[in-house]
Amino acid sequence: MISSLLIVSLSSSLVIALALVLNRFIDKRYMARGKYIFWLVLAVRLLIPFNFSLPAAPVKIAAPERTVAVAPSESGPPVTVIRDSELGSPRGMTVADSAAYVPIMPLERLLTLIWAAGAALLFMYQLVKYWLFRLAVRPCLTREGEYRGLPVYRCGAVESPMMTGFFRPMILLPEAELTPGELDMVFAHEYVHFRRRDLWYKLLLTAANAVHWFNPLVYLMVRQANRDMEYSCDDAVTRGRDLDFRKRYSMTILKTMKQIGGKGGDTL
Amino acid sequence: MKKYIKPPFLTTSFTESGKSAKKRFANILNTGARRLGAWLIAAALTGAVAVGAMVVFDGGAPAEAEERTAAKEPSAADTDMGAALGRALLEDEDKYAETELWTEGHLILKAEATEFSADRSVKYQVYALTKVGGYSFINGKFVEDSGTGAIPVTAIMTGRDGEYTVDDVIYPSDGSYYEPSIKAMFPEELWERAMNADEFYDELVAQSRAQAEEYLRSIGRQAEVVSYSDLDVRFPDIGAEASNAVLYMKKDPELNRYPDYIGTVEYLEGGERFVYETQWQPLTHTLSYIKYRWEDGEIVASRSYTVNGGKVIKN
Repeated sequence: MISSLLIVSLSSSLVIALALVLNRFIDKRYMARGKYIFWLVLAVRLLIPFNFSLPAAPVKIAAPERTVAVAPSESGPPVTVIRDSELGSPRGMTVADSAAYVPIMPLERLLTLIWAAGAALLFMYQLVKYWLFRLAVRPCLTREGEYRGLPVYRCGAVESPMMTGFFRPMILLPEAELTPGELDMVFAHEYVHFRRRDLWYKLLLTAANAVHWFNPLVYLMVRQANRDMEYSCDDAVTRGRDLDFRKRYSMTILKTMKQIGGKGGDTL
Repeated sequence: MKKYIKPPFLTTSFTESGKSAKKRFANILNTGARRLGAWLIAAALTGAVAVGAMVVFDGGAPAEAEERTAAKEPSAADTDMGAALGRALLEDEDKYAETELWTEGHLILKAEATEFSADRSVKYQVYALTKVGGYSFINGKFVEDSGTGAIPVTAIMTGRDGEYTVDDVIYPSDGSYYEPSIKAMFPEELWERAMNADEFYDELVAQSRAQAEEYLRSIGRQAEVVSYSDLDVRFPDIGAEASNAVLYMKKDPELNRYPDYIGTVEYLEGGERFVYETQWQPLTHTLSYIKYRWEDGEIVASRSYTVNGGKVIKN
């Protein structure tokens, strides 16, 4: 399984690297939504740890050198002798080495365990952070009303407007004053996130990142996907609107950013 | 200054752009017509799958190929490995000195050589199903009255010049850890057999019984070899209260050697065989404990008690 996962990770890395490089050139001509969908499908691909190899694949990654022999016994089970370069060389080993031998786990099993522990740790880390955040904001929630069926709360503990809640989504507003016009833009933006189920999109990215926690390109992919998600959300809000509206929309973002010192949200 | 909670990744923050805010504004202010780029998405994704398909992990196949050309080592390893494993299994049981004979059964599923040393010694991981069984003479039969079911184990062995010694025997964990521990101990191809070790129980018992029969021959004794569940034992009908009193009496280690059931058990003491017998006379309500030498029947110790209701009175 690990070898299959590595191939998926490596081959996807090529595509991620290519997409990140291309991204610089296509920003102005293509909608962020296209990239948003692209990252989504790539994340799903990353979560399927099976590779579909061609029967005569031109590239072969060599496994550790291994010689297998079967003892010619008339009865009883087959005795398989594995000479595995990962498990120690037959040559150059002293008697003392041999005496100090500690039974070792086959490498693939060990790697699988390390991989599973890393994946679980990263995924749980994000879930726990999310859960702690929900616990922390709960005491300061004041109901302000709702926007197209989506509950809106004021919360003094948050700096920026946001949407949270996988099963009971809600919009959180900071204490900072926003004009009705600005609030409209904020609501429209968060409502697009809600309609597209972007929290689930982010969860999917988190899962893909956790499964491929050893691959730095997947971290870059998640960061870019998160960015493209925001851009495509902005595109949806400003679609068909004139430059004046777009300026006011930008100013609203700028205003909330200024209030928080331009820190923005968390990235993986 | 007021302290705010930093939103986690799994929220959508309105200002989520960080250092790329400039680009975000450029994107918002871009009023030009833009395309979705469906062909680009399709091409990139086809690429993702295609690139993967071009790569194959060149691993398992050579092993199978060379298997047919079979090399010669190690010679007759299964027999010696089995004997070494058997010895190791029984070493753990020696502490139960009162059991007359410990036997074992094993089925080696697979043995892998994992390490080769310059001194020609080879380390093996041996995957096996095992059981041990302790036999005693009960009511004149040779009875397996203690032991285990079928247990999958991984033994670590060292082999040199056709001799095998066991360095360690690894047993699976209990309860809910059983399955994960089996999966950690065994290669995947053996999981099913290891998990269903009980299916091989009869075969393991047969090996164990063969050793018991061999032992009987070696001491020149004829007796039926059975398991405890096949034995028909009766207990003195003395009621719960008196049974508790007997149990209390049996804190005396000498008395504790007599069986709870009506009948006999044999122990080897100082090279001699003694029979410990418990008798129950329902008419006189007498519970008797008699110890005699097996060789000549000479009684070496005896005591009797009268059971009166819940009381047990020494005669």
